[in-house]
Amino acid sequence: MQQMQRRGFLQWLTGLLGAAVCSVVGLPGVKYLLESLGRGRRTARVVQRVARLADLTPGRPLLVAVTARKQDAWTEYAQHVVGRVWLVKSGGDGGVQAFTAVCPHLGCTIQAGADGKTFVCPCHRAAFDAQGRRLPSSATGQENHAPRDMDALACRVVQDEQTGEAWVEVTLEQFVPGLRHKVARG
Amino acid sequence: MLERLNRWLDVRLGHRRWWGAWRARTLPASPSWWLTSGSLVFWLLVIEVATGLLLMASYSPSLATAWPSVSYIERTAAGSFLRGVHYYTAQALIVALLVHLIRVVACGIFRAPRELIWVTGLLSLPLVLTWAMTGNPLSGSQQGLAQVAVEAQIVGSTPGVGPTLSRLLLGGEDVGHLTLVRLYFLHVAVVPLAAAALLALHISQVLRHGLAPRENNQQPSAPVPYWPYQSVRNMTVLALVVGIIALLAWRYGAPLGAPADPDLPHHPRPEWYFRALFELRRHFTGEQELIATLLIPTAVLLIFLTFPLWDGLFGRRTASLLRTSTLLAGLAGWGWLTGMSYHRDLYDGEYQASRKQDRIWAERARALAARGVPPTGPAELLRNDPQTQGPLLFARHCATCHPWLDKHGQGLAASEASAPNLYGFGSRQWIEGLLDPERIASDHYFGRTAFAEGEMVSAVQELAAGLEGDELSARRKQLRLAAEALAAEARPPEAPPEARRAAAGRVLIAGELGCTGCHRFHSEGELGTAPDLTGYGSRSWLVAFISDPRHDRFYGERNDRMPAFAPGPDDARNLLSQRELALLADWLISQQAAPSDTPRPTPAAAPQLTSR
Ligand code: FES
Repeated sequence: MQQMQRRGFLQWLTGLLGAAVCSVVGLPGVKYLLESLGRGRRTARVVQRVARLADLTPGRPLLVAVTARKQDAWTEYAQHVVGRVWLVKSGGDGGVQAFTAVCPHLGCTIQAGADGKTFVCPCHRAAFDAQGRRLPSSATGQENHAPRDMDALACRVVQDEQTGEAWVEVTLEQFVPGLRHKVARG
Repeated sequence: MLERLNRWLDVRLGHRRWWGAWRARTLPASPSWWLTSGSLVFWLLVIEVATGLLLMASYSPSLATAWPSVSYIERTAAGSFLRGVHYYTAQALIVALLVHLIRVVACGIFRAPRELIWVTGLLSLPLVLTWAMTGNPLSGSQQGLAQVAVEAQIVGSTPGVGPTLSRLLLGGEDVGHLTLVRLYFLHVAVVPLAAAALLALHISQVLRHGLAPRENNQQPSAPVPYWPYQSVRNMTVLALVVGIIALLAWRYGAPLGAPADPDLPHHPRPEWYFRALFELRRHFTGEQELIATLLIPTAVLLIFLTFPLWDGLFGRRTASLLRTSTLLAGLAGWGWLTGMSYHRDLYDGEYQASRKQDRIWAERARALAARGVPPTGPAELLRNDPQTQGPLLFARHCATCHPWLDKHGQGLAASEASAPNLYGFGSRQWIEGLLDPERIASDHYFGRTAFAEGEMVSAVQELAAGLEGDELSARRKQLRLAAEALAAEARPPEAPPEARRAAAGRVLIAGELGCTGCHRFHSEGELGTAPDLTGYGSRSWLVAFISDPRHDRFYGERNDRMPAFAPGPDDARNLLSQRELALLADWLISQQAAPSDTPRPTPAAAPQLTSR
C-alpha cells in the first residue's frame, strides 16, 4: 500500500518537474512569438501636403505618395512611403477628392484604368469609376470583387504661407480590407 | 578485415538486423511501376532538403538582404543550378505527391488497418503546399512579396483567428523585414519538422502493415522480394525525374524577378498550384469569398479524409465507384479552374504587357546588382536607374503632351499630343529634323504648339525660301552642319571628321545662319529672346530647362504650356525632385547616343506614381 502511494507520488512529482522545465522554455516562447502582434504598428494617421492644386488636371487622376518616418522591425526609415493616394480633381467646381490606393478587396495597389480616368485593381480586376464608386459587373463584363467603393480620405485645399500657392492636404488612414463597410484600422 | 569491423559494429549497433529486415521485404504481387510513386516522393523530399541546406549557406532573410543574397547565389553557375534544382524539385514533388495519392486511392490502401497511411499521406499535400508557399517569397522579388501580401490578407479575412494569424505571419501589420524572417523560419524549421513527423508516421505505418495486397488478386505462390526487383524500378523513375529537373535547372534556372518595390506597377498572380483557388475566388464576392478560400478546400480535404469510412457506409462496390468518381471530379475541377485562369490571362493584354515589363526590370536589376547592391536595399537599384525611371517619369510627367515614339510608332504615346516628339531629343538626327524647313512646322516638332507660327519656324523656313537646286542643297548642308554642332554640345564628337564638321557648324550658327540673332551661343548672342544654345541638350541644360522653361535663359515670357517642374530649391514644393530630374535627364541623354537600341517601354506599364 505504502509502496503504491509512494510510487504514485513519484510519478506525479516527475510529471510536475517535467512540466516546470517545459514552461521555462514554453511560456516565454509563446510570449515571444505573440509579441509581434503588438509590434510594428503603423503610424496611425499622417496629414501631409501631397500636390499643388495647379498640378492636377480635371479628369486625370494623379497618384501621389505619402511619406513618413517608419520603423520596420530593427530598421528606421526617416522618410518612407507609408501610403499612396489617388487625387481626383473634378471638372465642375474644381473640388478635389482623395482615395487611398489600397484596394478594399485584398489590398493590392489600385491603378488607373486604360482610359486614364477610371480605376482598376490589377489583382482581381475590381473596377471603379472616376469618383471611386464600384462599377457594376455589367459595365465591365467581369465580377467586381470590391466589397465597397474606394476608401475616400479626408482632404482639403490649403494655402502655402510663403508662396500663397494652393496645396492639397490629405489625411492618410488605413482601412480593413474585405468588409462591406469602411472600418479604420488601428 | 572489413568483415571483422562489420561484425564489431553489428554487436554494438545491431544494424544487420535492420538491413536484413529491409532486404527481406516482399511485394504483395509482382513488382510494378505504379509502386514507384512513394519512393519518388521520398527521394524528391531528400533532394529538397539537401539543396535547401546548401542554399542556406548563402541566403540571408530580410527585406534589405533577401534579394541581393539570392542574386548573389544566382551569379555562380553552381549556385544558380542548385537553386534551379530546388525550385523544379518542389514542383515535381507536388506532382509526384498527387500521383502517389491517386495510386493509393486506386489500390485501396486506406482500408483497415491502413487508415493512418491514408490520413498522413493526404495531410502531407497541404503541408507541402505550405512549404512551397513559404518558400516562394523568400527571394524578395516583387512577385513573391506581392503574393505574401495578398495571402496574408486572405488569411486575415478568416473570422476569429484570421487577423492574429496574419499578424504573426507578417511579423506586424504589413510586409517588412520580419515577414521574410518568419517565412524563412516556417520554411526551414517549422514545416520541415512537421513534414518529418508526418513522414515518420507514414513510413512506419507502411512498414508495419506492409504494402496492401491487390484487390481480387490471389497471393503469388512465391513472394517476390522488394530488393532489388522493386528498387530498381524506383531508381529508374527517380533518375528520369531528376534528369528532367537537372535539364530544366541547367537550361532555364529558377526565375528571379525584380526586387520588390511597391512603386513599380505589378500584376500579382499565384503559382500554378494555386491558380485553381485563385480562379475559384473569382466566382465569389464579398463575405462569400470565404467559401472559396476556406470552406471548399476544407470540405474537399475532409471528403477525401473520410474515404476509409465509405466502405462501411455504401458497401464496398459502390464506395469504390464513388471514390473513383470523386477523385476524377476533383482532378477535373482543379484542372479546369487552372486552365480557365491561364486562359483569361493569356488574352489579357494589360497583364501580358506587365509580364513583359517585369522581365525587362528583372533583367535590368540583375545586371545592376552585378556591380553590388547598396546597403539600403535592392529596391534602390531600379529606383536610381535612369534606364528604368526615365520612361516612368516621362510617362507620368511629360507624356501628357510630348510623345516619345520612334519611326515605327513604338514607345510612349502622348495622351493629348501637343508638343514635339522627344524620341532621340538632342541627337544629330533629331536636331536635323528641327532645322529642316519642311519638317519644323510638322506635328513632330512645333506643329501643335504656340510656336507653330513663331519666329523660329519662320526663320528656319526663310533660310530655304526662294532657293533652288545647288543653292538649296548647299543651305541644307549648312543646316546639317549646324545640327552636328548643336548635337556636339551634349556629346563632344570623338572622330576628327565629326569634330571638324561640328566646328564648321559652330561658325555657321554664329554667322551665316544667323541663329545668334535670337539665341545665345557661347559668347555670341543675348539671353532673353530664345533658349540658350550653349550646352544644348546636355545634362545640365536639360535639368535647368525642365526645372523652369520660363527662365530667361530659355523661353521666358513666351513659354508655351510647359510647366516649371522644379522652379525652387525645395524638393517638397516641386513637381520633380532633383533626383528625379537627374534621372529623367540622364535617360534622355542616353537616348541621344543610340536612340534605336534601347528597350522600349510598353505603354501599359506606364505608371502613375510620384514620390514626394
Ligand atoms: S485586391 Fe483589388 S481586386 Fe482583389
